Amino acid sequence: MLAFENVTKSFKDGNRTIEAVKSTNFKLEKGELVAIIGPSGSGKSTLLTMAGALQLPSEGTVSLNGQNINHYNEKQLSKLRLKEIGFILQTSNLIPFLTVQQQFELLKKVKKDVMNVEEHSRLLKQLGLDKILTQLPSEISGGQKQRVAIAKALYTNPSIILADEPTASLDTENAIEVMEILRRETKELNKLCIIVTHDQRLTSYCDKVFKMVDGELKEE
Amino acid sequence: MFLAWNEMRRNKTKFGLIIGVLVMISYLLFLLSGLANGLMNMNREAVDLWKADAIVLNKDANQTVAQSSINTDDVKGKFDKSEGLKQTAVIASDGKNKENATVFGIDGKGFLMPKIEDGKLFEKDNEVVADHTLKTKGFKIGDTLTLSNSDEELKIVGFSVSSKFNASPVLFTNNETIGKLNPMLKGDKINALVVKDKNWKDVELNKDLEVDDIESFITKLPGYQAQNLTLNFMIVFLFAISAMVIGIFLYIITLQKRNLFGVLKAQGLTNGFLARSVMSQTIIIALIGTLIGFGLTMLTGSFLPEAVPIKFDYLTMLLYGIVLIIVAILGSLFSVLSIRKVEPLKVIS
Repeated sequence: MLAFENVTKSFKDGNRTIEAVKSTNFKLEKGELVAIIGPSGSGKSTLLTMAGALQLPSEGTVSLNGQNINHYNEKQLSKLRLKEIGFILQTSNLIPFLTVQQQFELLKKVKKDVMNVEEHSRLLKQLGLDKILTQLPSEISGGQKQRVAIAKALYTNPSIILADEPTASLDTENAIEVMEILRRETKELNKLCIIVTHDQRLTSYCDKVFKMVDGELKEE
Repeated sequence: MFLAWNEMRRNKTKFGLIIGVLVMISYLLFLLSGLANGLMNMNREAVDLWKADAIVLNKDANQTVAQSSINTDDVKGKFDKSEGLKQTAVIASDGKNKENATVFGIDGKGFLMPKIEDGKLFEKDNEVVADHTLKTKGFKIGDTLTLSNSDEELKIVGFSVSSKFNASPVLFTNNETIGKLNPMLKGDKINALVVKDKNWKDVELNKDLEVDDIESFITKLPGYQAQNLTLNFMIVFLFAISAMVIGIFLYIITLQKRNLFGVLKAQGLTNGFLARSVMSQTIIIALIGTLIGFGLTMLTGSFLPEAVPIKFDYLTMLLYGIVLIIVAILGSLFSVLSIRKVEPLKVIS
């Protein structure tokens, strides 16, 4: 499903070369909920953005569904992200001028093969969003926003869900709820879900936990 | 369109302000175009009514009818259809109103005589048909006009449709009457010969005479080109200013939405989709602004007194409206280019 082979990522900082991600190898499959933990600046987000086709590795190969994406151009990467990847970010990043319902309509306009109506209704009900469909993001709570973001990520039927600190802006109760939803949807819809987090408590919900320290990834 | 329309619907104040700016620009643009057209019309109205092909003038007259002098014998029978024109300038007064006017000495049954809207055609000497402009200024049928430069008195027997020449109203009379007002125009002397003949270029004339097509004659009327160029310059600058204003407004809005665009791009929305959204937003803004500007112009036009030389040419206004929308789209290209530069990775990081 998602494979990293000898993947590294380095950046130039003046004359210095910073190796944000050192040679990394892993292979993850659908149905797995994976956590990547580690301190700030350890390279977690860089790793996540490579997995999300937002940037390409300096060396090594990133493969998605058996396809090496290293040689994709910007347009191909956009298409790949739309088709295969769902993002959940720290702050929900919903479009402020669209209602909850319209957030999904926009996705349907750009991607035809979204969830069917029954699946979508089930998801909305399960996430408790069916009552707030006509509300704007500014009219709903932080927890609700994050649940909308999760529903959006799942709505386009991606193979992979990438979540960057999805509980950072939530209180404990909402954070636990989000993790439970992610676990349930990962299993029910058979997705690969990778969560980058600082919060060690969330690892108990995950099938695999990787720790990133100074650009090196180790399975715990 | 979906993204563009919903953003506008939910940010009415912000987009209302931009539309407001466009309304002002298009309002000014349409009023200026009406003014340019009205002023242009003041100069050429009488000439346009001739529906002529060319005009013969004396070479030394520098294209000025009043300064030209032609012997009728020199041009007789040269063209399919032609008529002599005599012209003199007067200040006419009915005792209450004084007005600068141009007197045209013509054959009342010929093509130089415009349609009479009120009263009758001059039949006797010293009878005149005044153009509609004088009617709006308080002159009436039956008024006796005294002239500043002659002891002759003229009687208004009718009003023609509006037919100003070189920005002054016209008094139409017969050749004998104008001869009394200006002795230089007695008998066979005319100022110009107005020609209706498609083959006027093939006719050979006396070396002292020159023949010019009507359009080029109009552009050489005193002050006509300078006035048109000034107004057209203003209109062109207005287009350039609107492109910049719209461009700057949309650019600022786009900068405010950098994060949003970054997130949308991360989700796989292409530059093309986002650019189309900005473009459609621009078209909606420009269309609404232009339509309201047009409506305001029409409303203003209906309240303006007749003395204001404004005349709306709907085809020109439509053209300006379309150009304004195109110019607004060009202005939005800055925003489109800035969307291309938004890197989703940076925004997400």
